[in-house]
Amino acid sequence: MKTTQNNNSLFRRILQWASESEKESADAPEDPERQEFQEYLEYIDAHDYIEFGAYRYMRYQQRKELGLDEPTFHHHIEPSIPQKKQNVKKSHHKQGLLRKQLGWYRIASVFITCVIILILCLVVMELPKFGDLNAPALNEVAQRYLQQGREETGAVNAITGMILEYRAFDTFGESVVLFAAAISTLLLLRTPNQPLKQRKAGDEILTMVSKYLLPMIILFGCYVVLYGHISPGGGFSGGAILGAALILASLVLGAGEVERVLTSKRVTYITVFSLLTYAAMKSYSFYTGANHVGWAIPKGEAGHLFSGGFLLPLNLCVGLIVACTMYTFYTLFIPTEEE
Amino acid sequence: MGLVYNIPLFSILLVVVSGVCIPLFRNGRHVIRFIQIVQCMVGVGSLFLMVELSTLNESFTYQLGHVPAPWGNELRAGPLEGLFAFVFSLVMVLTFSGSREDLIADIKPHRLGNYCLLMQLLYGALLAMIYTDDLFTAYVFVEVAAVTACVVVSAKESGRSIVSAIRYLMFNCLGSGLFLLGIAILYALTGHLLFSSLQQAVEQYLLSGSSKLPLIVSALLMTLGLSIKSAQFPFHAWLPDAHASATTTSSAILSGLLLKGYLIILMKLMVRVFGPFVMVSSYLCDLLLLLGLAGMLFASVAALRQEEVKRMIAYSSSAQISYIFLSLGLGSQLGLLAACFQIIVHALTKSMIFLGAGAMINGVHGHYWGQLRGAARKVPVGGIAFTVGGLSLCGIPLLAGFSSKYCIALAALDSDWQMAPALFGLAASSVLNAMYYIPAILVIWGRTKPNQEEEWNPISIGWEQKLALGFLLFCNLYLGMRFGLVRNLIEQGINLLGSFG
Repeated sequence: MKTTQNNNSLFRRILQWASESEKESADAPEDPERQEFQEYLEYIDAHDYIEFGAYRYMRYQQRKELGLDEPTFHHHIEPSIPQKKQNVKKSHHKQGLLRKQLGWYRIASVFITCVIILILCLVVMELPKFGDLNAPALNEVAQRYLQQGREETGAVNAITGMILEYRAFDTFGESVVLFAAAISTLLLLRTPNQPLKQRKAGDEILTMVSKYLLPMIILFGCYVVLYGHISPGGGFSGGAILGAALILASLVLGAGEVERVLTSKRVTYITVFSLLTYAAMKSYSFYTGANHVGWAIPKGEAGHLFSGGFLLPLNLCVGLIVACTMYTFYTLFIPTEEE
Repeated sequence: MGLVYNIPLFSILLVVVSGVCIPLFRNGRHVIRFIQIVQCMVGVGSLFLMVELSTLNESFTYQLGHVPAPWGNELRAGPLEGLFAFVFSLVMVLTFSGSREDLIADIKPHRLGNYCLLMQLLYGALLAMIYTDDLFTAYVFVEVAAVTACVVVSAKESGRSIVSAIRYLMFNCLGSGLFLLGIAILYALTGHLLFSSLQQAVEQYLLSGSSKLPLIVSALLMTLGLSIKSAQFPFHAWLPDAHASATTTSSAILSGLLLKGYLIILMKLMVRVFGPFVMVSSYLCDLLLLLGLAGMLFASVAALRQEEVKRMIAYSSSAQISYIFLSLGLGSQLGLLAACFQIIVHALTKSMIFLGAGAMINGVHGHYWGQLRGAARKVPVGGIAFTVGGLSLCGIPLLAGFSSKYCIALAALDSDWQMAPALFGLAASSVLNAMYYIPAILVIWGRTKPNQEEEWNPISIGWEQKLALGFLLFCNLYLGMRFGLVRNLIEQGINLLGSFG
C-alpha cells in the first residue's frame, strides 16, 4: 500500500505544480517547463494519450523546423552533475552514431539473408528430387522398416513401429523435451496457493452442442491412441486430440469443472508416471536387446488390438504425456476475467 | 557382454528417470541431495567405465533394442567418452555442493524442485550428447538442453535474467534451426543418420566428386549452428547477460559444461563424419581457426571493459571457448587432443571461478568491482578459488591453464602455416587474460580503505562449499602438475574414435 500512496502524492504534487502559475501574479517570470507541461495536458485532452518525453521530443522537432530557439529551463538540480555526464558521453561516442549503424545493420541483414537464400536454392537444386525412386534416402534402412517392420515389431502401422521400436530412444528424448517444456512453464508461471482462474461457461448453444460432441471427441482420441499400431495415428496425434478435448471441456464447462477431476498436481503426476512407465518398458527392451538375453515380449498376431508387444502401452504413455502437456500449457496461459 | 557395457545407457536413463521422479518430492532441499546422489553414482560408474576401457584399450557400440544400428539407435563409448562423463558428473556434484546456499537463497522454495528437475534433465542431455553415435539423437538432446538451459537462466526471476533468457532463447532457436537444416541436407544426400554410415556415404561422394556444394553447405550450417549455441565470438552476444544474471549454479554449469556439450558433437562430426578431407577442402578448418583467433582477442578485450565480476567471467568463457575452436581448426590429431584437454580444464576451472565469485558476491552483497573491494578478505575460500582460477587461465605454470595452453602450443608447432597465427593468438590472449584477471585479483584482496590496517574477520561459510572449492582447487593443481595421465587417456580415446589429420 505504501507505493500507491507515494504515487498518489507524487501525482498530486505534479498537478499542483502545473496549476500553480494561475495563482501566481502576472509579473512573476513564466516557467517555460511548466508552460510546456500545461500545453501537454491540453494536448492530451484534445488528442490521445502520449508520453511526456515523446511530447517534448515532438515539440522540439516542431520548433527546430520553425527555426525557433529552445526555451531555457532553469533546473533546480546542481548543474555540475549533468555537465559531468555530458563530458563523459562526448568522449565515448558521437551523437547519432547508433542511428547510422542501425541503417547499415538493416542493409547488411537484408544482404546476408539474400546470400543465404541464394546458397540454399543452389543446394536444393543439387539435392535429389522429391519422390525420386533413386534418391539415396530410399536405402536399406527404409526398406527394412517397410518390408520387415510388420514381422519384427508386430505393428501394421510402419510409423508406429519405427518410432516406438526401431528408434525408440529418440522418441524417449522427444517425450523428455515435452516434459521439460511443461515443467518449464510450470516453473515460470505457476505460483502456489494461487486462486483458480475462473472462467464462466460459454453460451447456451455452445454448451449444449459441446456436451454431445465432447464424449465423441474423447472416444475418437482414445481410438487413435489405442489403434496407433494398427491404423494411422498413434500417441502423438491421439494425444493431441485428447488434449484438445480437455481444452474444449475447460472452455465450455468452465475451468472449475475440469479442475475438479484433473487438478494441476494430478496432471503432473499422470505425466510423471507415464514417462516412468515408458522408461521402464523401454529400458527392459533396450537391456534385453543389447545383451541378447532373449525374454522378448510376445508380438501377438499383427492387426489385432493386443499385438506388437509393448507398442500399445507405449502409445498410451506417449498419448497421456502429449495430452497432459497441452492441457498444462492451456491452464497456465488462460487469461483471467479482468483481462 | 559384461555389465560394464551397460553403463552409458543406464547413466542416461538413471539421470533422466531421477529427474522425472522429482515432482513426487515435497521438500526442495531433499531434492538437491537426491540429485547429487544420482550424480555421484553416475560419476563413479563413468570412472569405472573409463578405467576398464582404458586397460582393455577398446571402444564399443551399444545397440539400443533388438535391432542393430542403421535401423535402430546406438550409443558409443570409449575411454574419451568415459572421461568426459566422469568430469561432467564431478563438476555437477561439486557445483551443487558449492552453490547450495546461493541456490536456496535465489530460487523460491516452491520452484526449487522444478529447477533441480530441469538441471537434471540438462545433465542427462549432456550425457546423451557425449555418448551418442547418431545425428538425430544428438539433435533431440540438443533440444532438451536448449529448453532447460533457457529456463534455468530465468529461474532467478530478476527482470534482467528474464530479458537475457529471452535473448538466449532466440539465439538457441537460431542455432537449432541451422543445425537441423544441416542435418536435413545431409540426410537427403545420404539417407543415413548414423555416424559410421554417414562417413561411408560421404566418402563415396568425395570419390565420385559429385554434390560437393550441398555437402560443404551442410557441414557449414551445422558448424554455424553449434558455434552459435556454444557462444563462439561473433555469436556471443547472448552469453554475458545470460551467464551473469543467472544464479551461481546456473552460470557455473552453463559456462562450464553446456557450451562444451555442443563442441563435443562438433568434434564427433569432424572426426567421425566429415573427416579431414572435407574439413580441409571446404576451408572449414581455416574458418574454425579464424573464428577461434578472433574470439580469443575480441572476447578478451570485451572482458577488459566489464564492471561486473560475473560478466567479466562470462566474456572470459567466450574467450576460452575460442581456444577450443582454434585447436580444432589446426586440423590435426594433436589439435584435437588439445581441444579435449582444454574442454576438461575449462570445465573444472570455470566452475571454480564462478563458485568463488558467487561466494564473494554473497559475502559483500554486491557484484561491481567497487563493491567487491576486499571481498576476498571476507570470504577467503572464495577469494582463493577465484585467484587460482584466474591465474590458471592466465597460464601461470603449475596450474591447469598452463598445461592446456602447452598442449595447444605443441599442436600449433606441429602445423604448417597455422603455427605463427596460433602462437601469436595464444600469447596475446594470455596477456589479455592477465590484464583483466590480475587487476581483479588485486581488487578483491585489496583494502577497503587505503593506508589502514583492517582486522581479519572472515565470514564463515558451510563445510560443503569449502569442500567443493577445495576439491576443484586440487583438480586444478593436479591437472597443472601431472597432466600426463589425462593426456594419455585422451590420446588413447581419440585414436579409438577415428583417425583425423
